[in-house]
Amino acid sequence: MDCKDIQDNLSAFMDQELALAAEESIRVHLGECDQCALQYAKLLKGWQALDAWDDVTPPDRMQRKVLDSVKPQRHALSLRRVLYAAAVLLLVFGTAVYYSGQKERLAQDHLAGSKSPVQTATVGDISEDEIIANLLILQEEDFFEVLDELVKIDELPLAEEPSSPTKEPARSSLDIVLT
Amino acid sequence: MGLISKGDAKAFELLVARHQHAVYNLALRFLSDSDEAEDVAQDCFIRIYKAAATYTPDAKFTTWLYTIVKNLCFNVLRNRRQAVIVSVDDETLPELPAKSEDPVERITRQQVREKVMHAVSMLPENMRLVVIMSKFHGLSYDEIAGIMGCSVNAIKLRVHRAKAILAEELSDLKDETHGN
Repeated sequence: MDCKDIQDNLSAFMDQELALAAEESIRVHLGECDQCALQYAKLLKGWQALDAWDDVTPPDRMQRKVLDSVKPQRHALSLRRVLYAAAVLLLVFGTAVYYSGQKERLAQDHLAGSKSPVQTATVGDISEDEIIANLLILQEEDFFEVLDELVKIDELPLAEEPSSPTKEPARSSLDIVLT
Repeated sequence: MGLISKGDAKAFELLVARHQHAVYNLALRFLSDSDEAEDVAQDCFIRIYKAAATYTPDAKFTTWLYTIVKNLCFNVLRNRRQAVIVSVDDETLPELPAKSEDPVERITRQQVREKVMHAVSMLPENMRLVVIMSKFHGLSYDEIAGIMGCSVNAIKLRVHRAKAILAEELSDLKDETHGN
């Protein structure tokens, strides 16, 4: 290696990043060449001088400010959780109230309407008649109608197809429903 | 980070306490402005808090942390340029000297420090940040390359050039004042 090669590699030599052979060759060269040795000393001195730039302790207020600034978000997070919990509770409570009302109504209807001498079997607190009555309510729901409608749909429009000049695209039953 | 994303205030406090020194000093050395460094550090931790839920440990946490600091620092520089304000170099107050320190030694050390700060501030921005991360934060060239978004060789080249510039700038320092 000539002086230029040596000087190009002095930074890597300082960082001990060179292969052993290259490192040894530079070490030998620095022992013989005053110019390169001087250059190396200069580099080393400049780099080591940076050590005089001490760290500074961050101001105490900094951490406090950071923690204060995220506090409202922490409240917001807990508020969101409370809202979720309230919504779930409301749903459960509402469902319970609804079904207890239904149960009461069915019991009254049963007493008023049927005077059947046949004793019905009971499962726990719910009688067999009650279960059948509930099934009838379900049947009355529009759910089954909508389900039937959906079953009839043979194709769903996934994307708008380019209009063909000769053939009008087939309309699905969902289109009919929507229009 | 997992705990922080679940709203664990203590975990966040611990994270801030652990990294605030490094974050603040990196920003301070790079920006040479204590107020801006403080703003960057605060902003950095707030961003970490907000991003905790989406954080995925693809790389080392410190790499992610320093990338945020780097981006915020460059934002500050960009704003400075846009504002066209001549910044007053209000570099932070020097550390209080140890009581046993000789006054002459203290003054000499202060002078060296100012000279070093000036020499580093003269480096191009990208080179300056690389030098600070390498010299003061002990980051490997691999890590710095990850933070800066460039190759390891590019980082080595920047450090190599920075050393040459600093060698010239600081060549007139007295021998006994450098190093620890």
